[in-house]
Parts: sequence; C-alpha cells; structure tokens
Amino acid sequence: MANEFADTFDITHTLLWDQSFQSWAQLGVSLQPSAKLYGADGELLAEWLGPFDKEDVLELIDGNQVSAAAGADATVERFCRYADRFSRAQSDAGAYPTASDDQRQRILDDLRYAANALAQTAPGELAVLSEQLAAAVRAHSQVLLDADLPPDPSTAGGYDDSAAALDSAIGASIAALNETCDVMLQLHATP
Amino acid sequence: MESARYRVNGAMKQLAAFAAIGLMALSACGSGSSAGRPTSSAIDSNSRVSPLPAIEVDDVTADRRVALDAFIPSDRPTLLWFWAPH
Repeated sequence: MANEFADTFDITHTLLWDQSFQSWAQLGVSLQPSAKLYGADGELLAEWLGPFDKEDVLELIDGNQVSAAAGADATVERFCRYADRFSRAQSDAGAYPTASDDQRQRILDDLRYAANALAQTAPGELAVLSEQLAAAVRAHSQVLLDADLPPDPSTAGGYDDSAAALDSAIGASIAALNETCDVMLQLHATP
Repeated sequence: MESARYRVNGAMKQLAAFAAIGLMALSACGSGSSAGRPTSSAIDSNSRVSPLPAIEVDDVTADRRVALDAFIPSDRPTLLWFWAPH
C-alpha cells in the first residue's frame, strides 16, 4: 500500500512507513496530516496541523544549513555513534544464552538496529562494508528467529553458515571502524 | 480533505531538495515486516542528540529498514510530514 501511495503521488522524497504508529505516539502526533520542521542540529523550528505554506518553510530554514566540511564531520560522527552502539550491542549479546525469551529478542533487535543504522549512515567509503555487515546481521538474526530464538543458538538450522558469514563481515569491518571511530568490534561475540 | 492532501504533497515535492522526509504510518495494511520496536534505552546512543525516537521503520523508497533517529541531526533541515492513508 505504501508503494502504491508513492507511485500515485509521484513521491520523490524519502518515504517512511511505520506500521506500529510508535513514531507518531512518541512524537505526540495525533492528528493528520501533521508536519514538523527540524533544523540541521535537531531543533524543532515549527510544526503544523493540516496544510502548511511552502514559503513559510523556506523562510524558516533560510541559513539553517551547515558547511560542507561541517556536514562531512557530522556524517562521520553520526556513523560512529552507531558503530559504538553496535559494539555495545555485541557486549550485551553475551547474555543471550541465559536471557529470557523477550531479552533474547531484544538482543537481536539491538544488533540488527545498530547494524542497519550503520549501513544507513555510512560515509561513502564505508558504505559497502557497512551494508555487508548489516546484511549478515539480518541473515543471522533471521536464522535465529526462524528457530524461535533457542537459548543455544547453535541448534538453529543454518547457524554455522550464517554465523560464519557474520564473523567474516565483522572481521572485514574491524580495522575500518577502529580507524574511523576508535571502536573495536569483536569476533564471535554475537549469538 | 482531499485538497489539503494535494496541497501538502505538492509542497513536499518542492521541498525534496531540503531533505524532506515524509513519515508515513499505516495500520492494518500488513507489509510483512515487523513493527518498529523501541530498543534498549541503555544503549540508545543517538537519542541523546536526535529528537526522533530510536525505532526502526520501513524506508519505502529505498526498500529497507532504517533507524528513524538517524535522519536528524543532519547537514540540513528536515521536514517530517505525517499522513496515514485510510
């Protein structure tokens, strides 16, 4: 349905679909259409219920962009926040074998979230490595999910292959993430 | 309502150059993907700097799951437009 919507209205900007409505709830959006305008630094500049005027938006954002150099620094900084997050998710994953069902789900969610965010925010030179890492995390997570998150992950069908692929992707990323973000990923640290 | 929808959409297309993000929420329309799930606040690193919640959503245009909080801050302003088709 979201794809149909994008085609129908010839949408070219980023279109996100939150089936859960959690984003609406957490941002206090209860009526539609609504809009929120944020500055480059994340400050809320304006919000609207119903239609809004393009000229108002253009006036509000005039001069609100950052320089190319500052933008590049911000890109790396943002990427490194998720590198750090992935590293900490790996540390938390050590509790997987003794965790409850919900906790095991959360451990996988955190790993997948951080890996996907890494791929989403990667600077150009790290894009391929990051996408390979995210793809490996997604594939490995799916193996465990398909087996209903067993406390002993090695009992999941296909575990050996997906775990090896994930370790390979992590191994390929270690040096680059350490150099760029001073974050050290760990081999064999995921369930 | 229809005219309002078209007016908003028209403006959004013009604003695409400023990294406008249409945040679209749907219910009961099953995409096959799991719902966004808040992740552990203990490791919610980007939420310290982003006003957006740390949840995963579907990026329809890129065909992948993305972290909502990774869109802001950015190198330019971001417009979020919320609309849910019936």
